[in-house]
Amino acid sequence: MAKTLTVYLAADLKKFNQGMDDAERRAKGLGGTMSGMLGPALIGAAAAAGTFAVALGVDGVKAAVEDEAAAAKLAKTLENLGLAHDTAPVEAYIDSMQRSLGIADSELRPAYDRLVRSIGNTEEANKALALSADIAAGTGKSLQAVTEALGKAYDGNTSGLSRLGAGLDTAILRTGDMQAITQRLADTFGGQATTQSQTFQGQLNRLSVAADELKEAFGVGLLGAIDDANGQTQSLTDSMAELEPLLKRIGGFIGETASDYLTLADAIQDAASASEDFIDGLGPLKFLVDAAASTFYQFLNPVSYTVDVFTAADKAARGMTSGTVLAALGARNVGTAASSATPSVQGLTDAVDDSGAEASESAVRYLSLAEAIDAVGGGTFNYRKEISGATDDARDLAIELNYNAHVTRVNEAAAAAAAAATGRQGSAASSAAGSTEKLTAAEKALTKAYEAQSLQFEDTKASLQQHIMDLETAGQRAKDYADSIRDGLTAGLDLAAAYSGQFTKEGEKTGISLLEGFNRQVAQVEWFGNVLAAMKAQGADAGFIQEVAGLGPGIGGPLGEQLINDGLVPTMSDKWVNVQNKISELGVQLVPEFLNQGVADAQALVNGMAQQLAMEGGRLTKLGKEIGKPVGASFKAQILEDVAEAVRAVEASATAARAERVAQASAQQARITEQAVAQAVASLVAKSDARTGRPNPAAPARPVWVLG
Amino acid sequence: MASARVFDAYVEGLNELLRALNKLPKEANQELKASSKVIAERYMVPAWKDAALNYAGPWGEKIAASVKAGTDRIPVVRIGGNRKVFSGGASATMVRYPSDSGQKRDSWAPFEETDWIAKRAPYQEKALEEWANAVDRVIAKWAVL
Repeated sequence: MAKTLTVYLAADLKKFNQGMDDAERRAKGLGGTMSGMLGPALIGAAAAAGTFAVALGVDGVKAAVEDEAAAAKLAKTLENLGLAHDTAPVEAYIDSMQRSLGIADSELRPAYDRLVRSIGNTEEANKALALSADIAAGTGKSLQAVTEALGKAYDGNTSGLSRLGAGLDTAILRTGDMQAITQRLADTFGGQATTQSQTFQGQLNRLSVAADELKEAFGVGLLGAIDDANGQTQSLTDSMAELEPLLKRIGGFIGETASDYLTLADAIQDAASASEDFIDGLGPLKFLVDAAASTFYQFLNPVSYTVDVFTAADKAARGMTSGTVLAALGARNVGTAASSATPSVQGLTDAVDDSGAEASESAVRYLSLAEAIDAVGGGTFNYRKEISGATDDARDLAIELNYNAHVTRVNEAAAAAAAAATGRQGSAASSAAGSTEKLTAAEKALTKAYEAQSLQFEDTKASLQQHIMDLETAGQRAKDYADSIRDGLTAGLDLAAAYSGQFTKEGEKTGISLLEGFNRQVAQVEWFGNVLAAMKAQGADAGFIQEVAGLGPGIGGPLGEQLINDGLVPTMSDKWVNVQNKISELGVQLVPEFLNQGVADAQALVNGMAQQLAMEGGRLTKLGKEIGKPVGASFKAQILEDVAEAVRAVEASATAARAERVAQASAQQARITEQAVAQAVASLVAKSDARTGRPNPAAPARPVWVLG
Repeated sequence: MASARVFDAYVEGLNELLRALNKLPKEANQELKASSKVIAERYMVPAWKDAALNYAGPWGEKIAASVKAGTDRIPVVRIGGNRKVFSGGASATMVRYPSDSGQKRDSWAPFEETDWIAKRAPYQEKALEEWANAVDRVIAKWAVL
């Protein structure tokens, strides 16, 4: 089967050696060796690839690349719509939305892109995006699905909106009046996204966005530095100086809030101690408090550790500054040496090229000479003439040889100059390498510190998550308790009994109206509530009250009244609790108002912490970018240095090899020339002898031309 | 599809480089592939198309239409195809070498030696230089991760 011809721009030199003939046969002119031009650089590049590893950079750079691509896509859409001037405000709007609502910009940008394509102006698109976020929060649909439906509606197809479950009636949808439709949607869903963002989950989402932004900022800084490796050390040092107190402040804030929380816990414990009746019931609360305190302690320790790490990194960065200066000096020396070496190497290359051209011309001349000699066969005049011509050619040949020898000497001198330049480069590179090494070490410390800080941010988020779960558990238990009491109290409310109470079994009226019967039930509930309240006032355990309440007003009421009248509430309550504890250690009994207050306080605390951390996260994002820049710059410098070193090493060996080849070629050429001249002269003599009849047994055979 | 592979240039250390690139994230290699394709389309495809159109005689147009840039970490073009593109049922691959060498073999077609393959404009140096820049850029960007 006929094959498609696949032409690769390049292959490894090994392939050239293995399959040269085949390749040349099938594709004429292909396959020139370019190792001198590109090979050393590639070897250096291979050495550089994978040299460094910064864990934070992987996610950060990927996020930055994706972010850049998404931003570019949106910018292009705006440009195509003639709204390029709005690109910056749109980006700012998206950024503010992601921070306030906890929706990642990677979701917001495509959503905005979709909307602005259909709407055609950014002001309306801003409103539509906010509305989409509200609808998504209200319906539970994804933002992408909502914006797709809304975008189609703006295009004239409202069927998607009807499937969103947004409560739009078909009459409105059929009008296609987007003003009316969006107004109805805004009435229905307005503020949903903001409300959701204030929930615990919303707070966590905002923290997640802030954490992702930290990584992304690092990646942006790093990539920016690769594109523009200007010295960023000062800004790095400034960043460190700013970062350290900032982190300390965060640590302080966390410490204060933790302290507040522990004070709260102490208050709970004190209150519990004050009431002997509650002490056992407080057991589960203590568990919650202990759990919360434990998470805060865990929260505090890494923060403290991070501050230490940053302090160390700051010192490293200060040391790094001097290293950077040394590195810069070394790099300048390398540049100077490289500049001086370049003309020498270029001269060498040109000389080698010239030498090759000369050798080629010489070969042509030898062939012409041989043909001329062969053509000789005429009379003496011609013979002499040819001899004379051959002599001239031999003279030219001698001149060529002399020139070749001269070129060889030039080559050798150039090679020596290049070698000397390489040596100078080596020492300069060595000095630069030492400085660069110091710089890299310092920046690695800095990077580790930033990574630790990023991890700390994640830990903080996890701690808050734990708090939220604890609070939700506590809140749920309080609610369950309130529900059980309410159920007990309302058990006495029975409309069926109120109705049937109007009649006797025989169906005669009892004289008690439906309303009167219901009022009696209500009065009984109130009385029952008062009984329970009185039991509570006498120190009854919450569980005991709950149990009595569960019996309903019919039995629970008289029972409670008897307990109160006989002064048995404390005793029965204790016994009840003891029995309960013996039966099971499970159960949560709290004083409702106390618990509710505790939950509310803790919620406020966690909310405050989340907001504060989100706010600080924004600042850390900027700092991360500042840190990423110099780290990337130094890595680039290191990579370039490695590449340059590898290139120098290979160039040196290549130069030596070239010089050797030139010398060999010259020597071979000289041998060929001498041999050819001798053989040509011998041939001439032999032919002359043949014509004159003089025997010449020593006449050589026709020469074999071997051109190197 | 079966294919005959030929190479424009031989470069020392290329295999080592490709092996080293394998250590980078896959996004890095995807980026290099994209750059390589752009380079192939910018330099290699026009050179081969021009050579076919200008020198391959009556077969040149179909051969030129079959020149396409491939996707690889090294710039690559594919020339020929097995789809029947001539009225007699020949494919671009079938006329590619005969139109160059003039060897008719069993064909009745009036092939003449045109040497069109050797007449393509030189692009290797610029293409290689640009590709080396692309490699540098990818490594500088991804090797720090």
